Amino acid sequence: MQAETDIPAAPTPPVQSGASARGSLMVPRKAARRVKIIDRLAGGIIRFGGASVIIAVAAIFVFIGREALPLFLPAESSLQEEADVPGFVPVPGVTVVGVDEYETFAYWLHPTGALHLVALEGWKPADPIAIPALQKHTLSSAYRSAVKDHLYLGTKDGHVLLAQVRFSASYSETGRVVKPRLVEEKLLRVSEAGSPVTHVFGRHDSQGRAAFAALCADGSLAVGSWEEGGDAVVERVGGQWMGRPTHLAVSEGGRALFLATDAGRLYHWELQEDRESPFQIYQLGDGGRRVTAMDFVIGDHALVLGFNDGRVEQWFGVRDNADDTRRLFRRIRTFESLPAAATTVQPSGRDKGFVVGGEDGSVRLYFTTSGRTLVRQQAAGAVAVLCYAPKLTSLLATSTNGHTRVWSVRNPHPEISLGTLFGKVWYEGYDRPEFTWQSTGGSDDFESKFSLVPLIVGTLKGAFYGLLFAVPIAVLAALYTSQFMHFRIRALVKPAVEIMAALPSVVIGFLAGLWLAPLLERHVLSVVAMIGILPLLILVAVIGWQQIPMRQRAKIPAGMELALIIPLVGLALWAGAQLGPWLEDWFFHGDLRQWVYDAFGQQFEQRNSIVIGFAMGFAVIPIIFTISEDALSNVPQHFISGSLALGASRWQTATRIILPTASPGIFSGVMVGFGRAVGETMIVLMATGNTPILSFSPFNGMRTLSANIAVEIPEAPVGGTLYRVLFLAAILLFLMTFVVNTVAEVIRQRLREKYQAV
Amino acid sequence: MNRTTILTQSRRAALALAGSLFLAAGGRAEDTITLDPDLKDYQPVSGVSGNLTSIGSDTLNNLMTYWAEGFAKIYPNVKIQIEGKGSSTAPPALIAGTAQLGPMSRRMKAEEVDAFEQKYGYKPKLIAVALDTLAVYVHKDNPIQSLTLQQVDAMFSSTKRRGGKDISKWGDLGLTGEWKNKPISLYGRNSASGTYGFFKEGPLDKGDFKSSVKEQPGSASVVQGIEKDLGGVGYSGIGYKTSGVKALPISFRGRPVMPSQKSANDFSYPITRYLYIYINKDPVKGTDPLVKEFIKFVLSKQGQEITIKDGYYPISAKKEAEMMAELE
Repeated sequence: MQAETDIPAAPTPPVQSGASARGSLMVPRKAARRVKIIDRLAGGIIRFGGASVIIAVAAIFVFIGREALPLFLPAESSLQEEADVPGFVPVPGVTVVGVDEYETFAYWLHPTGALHLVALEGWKPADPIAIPALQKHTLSSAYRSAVKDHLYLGTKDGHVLLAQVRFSASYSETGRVVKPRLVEEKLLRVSEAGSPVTHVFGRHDSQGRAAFAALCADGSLAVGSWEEGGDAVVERVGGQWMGRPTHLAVSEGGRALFLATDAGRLYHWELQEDRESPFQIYQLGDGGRRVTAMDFVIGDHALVLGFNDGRVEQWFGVRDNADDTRRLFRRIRTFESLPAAATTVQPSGRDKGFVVGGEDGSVRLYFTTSGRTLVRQQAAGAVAVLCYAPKLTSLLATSTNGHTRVWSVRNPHPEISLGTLFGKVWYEGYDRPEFTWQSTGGSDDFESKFSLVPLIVGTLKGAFYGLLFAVPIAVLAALYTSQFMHFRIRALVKPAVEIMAALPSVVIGFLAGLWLAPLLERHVLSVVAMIGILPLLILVAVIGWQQIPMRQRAKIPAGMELALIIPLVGLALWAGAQLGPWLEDWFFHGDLRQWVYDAFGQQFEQRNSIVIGFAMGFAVIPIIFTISEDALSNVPQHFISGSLALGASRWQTATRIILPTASPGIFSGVMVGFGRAVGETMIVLMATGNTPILSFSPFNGMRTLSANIAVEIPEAPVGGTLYRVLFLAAILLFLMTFVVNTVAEVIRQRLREKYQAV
Repeated sequence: MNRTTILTQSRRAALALAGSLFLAAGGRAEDTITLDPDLKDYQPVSGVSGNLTSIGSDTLNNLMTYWAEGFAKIYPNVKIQIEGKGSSTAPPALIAGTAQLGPMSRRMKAEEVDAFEQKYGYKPKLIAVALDTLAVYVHKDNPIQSLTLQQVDAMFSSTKRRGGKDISKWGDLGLTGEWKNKPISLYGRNSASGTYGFFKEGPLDKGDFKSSVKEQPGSASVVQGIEKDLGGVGYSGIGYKTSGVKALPISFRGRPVMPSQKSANDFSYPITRYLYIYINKDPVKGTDPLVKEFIKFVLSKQGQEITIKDGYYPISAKKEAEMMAELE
């Protein structure tokens, strides 16, 4: 930073003036011209160097920006196909539509019990596939799960058929051939009385276990489970409800069951606890509002509800304040409303998005975490069924008149908005909106949490504790070294401190994490005691020193007093080590960690901010020290001489004259140190637990932006959301140091102008 | 982090080094592990040579090194390079073709499979190569006897999907005396690891970790952290057990079960998983012969003996046959 301001000014004027002054007198014209050329050349090289540095920095910024920018681009969608489905007869609650993962086929379940297929490439109808079991039993209701095309089919004689549409891909020299087939898994009787199944809903988990719920026309409600090679179980669910049931949903593993009625009520069973009566009943709004579309968001922990007035809401369970183990469902988010009643909802099989169709033909793609509306399209008429293709690249809507539209969708980063990056977000299963960073989960139904706030706070926290340790030591050391120290010792000390800067930060981090952290944990009070005792001892020593007659004192050359302090430091360390356990026994019942936890409800982590303060301080001290020392040494000698001549003591001169004059330099040293601490990676990576917590407490750790990039970039799929968010974090880091350095430079200029007048 | 290159000439040295590292890690749990007698012997074939690169799981890193070592003994002209930074590093490496073997301690996510499919037109092949149990470790002086899965969830998770009350000090688990108010200090793996994802999916029931879980870069450093932290608890593979920690029996709808070969084989220990190697098998041209031989070796009796040596449980002969069918 200093260099930036000094380079353009320093080299040119002396050379020019020197050359021209001498040129006219003694140097031949030829030589003068040569000097001029060299001068220009040097100037050019320097200018070129400066410009290329600026260009390089700008180019890096542009590159990083380009990687992060797509996060904020809107989703794209365009109409691909528009055609009629042959022989389509929409029956609410029966018609389902699906698309295979390669988007070769779309299929519609026909009320006669057959799958009508269309090859999407060129919209060629293929041979329908009959469902054998439905030749004997008549279809009365159906549900298709968004993942893996599982079908749950209810019949008029009280049976539920579990089936799956499987698409097998085979490969040959010419490419991929996809063949659809239907697998009937199990036919189960759910109504002994043979009452028609009016509503059915089901789920297969990742191990292939099925859970389903069925509601019959006689009002009996049943849940069942089935596993390949295992027994099928069907059990009655008890309870009474107000109004006519309209929608049914059961979560994976058959844990929670929901039933919506046209009286605007939602009934919630926790089946593992009580199958006989609803666990909770929710009122969904004022009279007249009722659910017209309902399904789970992937993961089965949150419900999406569409209403007859076009409202779309997300509900999920939140811990009950009165009883810690109960989770009551409540409205969490309201999405942009549809212009007319919602008719159907289809969750994405990959992420927390879902599609809603409306009575007026509107089709909307929403995303829960960010609350964004990603796609707005219009179908050819009231939407009967929807399908969001397994790879989330196309969207298909069939209207009640059989007219179908297919849109291609490009929507790579639905979970990102300024709100999810910097605001509090209410994530599924959380008790309140929070700032959370948790980018990766083990499965597809994981809700990524990309709040940068804990990381920014962690970065500032690490830098703060580092500077808290480094600034007093570095600045005072620089003052002493430049003003009071014997010049021979100074010649040793300054390079020695600068060598500290050459120590790789990974070594510092390693030592801090594996050696210092456990040591500090055991002896934290000893360290505190040392820090307290040392200044006291020095003060006592100084007073004692003044009692010694001048003649004796004069034997020690000025600036060599330092040697006397070294034994004092040793003494203070020893005393602190002795005093620490004693203090802990007396004030903290022998266990500081426990005391911290009891008093503040806060964990005393082994890898905490104090360790980071020491380690980061160690890395930053050389920078602040060197720049400050230079600034202090460069205070013009005539200032010092003047001050001393006027009778000021050395101490007065140092604090009143030298320190203020050098303050711009010291300030910029501190700021450069801050910039270094903000960008420091290895120390925080190795010496903290990398816990992305939002806390300024010195007793726990942190995760910084830079460490976060280092930790997560190996796992981030190139071009994915995490990858781009990490680049965004890099931009933030860049901006932080850029702003700090710019502000520092401006303040430095101001201070310099102010003290130039002195 | 662990980049180990095994060249035939430095084989001995590498084995000695790896062996000593392993001894230092303290060997494995009490029970003796037996091989399924129906596992087939490996039949060497002629003309196998070339280079193999493996990039992926940290959990599988040692095991891959041993397998590579055993394989190189049979085929001196094969050079194998192994890199283990975390399961999430395997898919990009397989896609870019920089690795032929992608060891992973979890299955690929749909996005990862998609990316592979986009490049090659077919899905990557999944081969189960060993059984692993994740143990929940505490400091050796911790008096706690066992945990339920719900308690594990309530300790580690902020979402508590299994419905327990929050557990933040050891007294919440019924410990008394000086342990009553001792805070629980949580250790876990970093999010690039399959172990992280598996623990999240299993014990946490797809919930979220508390943000106070200290994320360690390797399985061994989780155990090291707990060794030095009296109130510590963490999860790591059973192969990483040392004398400074103890593994707790875990119960899930029944009696507490210790991780063992038997409880892993019948999945009665609730945190059991397969470890995998993903390979690129062209459905038309078939598997690259070198990769195929390596996988055959890994699945054979000889390969599974090595699995035991490294502290994991061998697969059954039935699973071997299933995986061999995948390979053909």
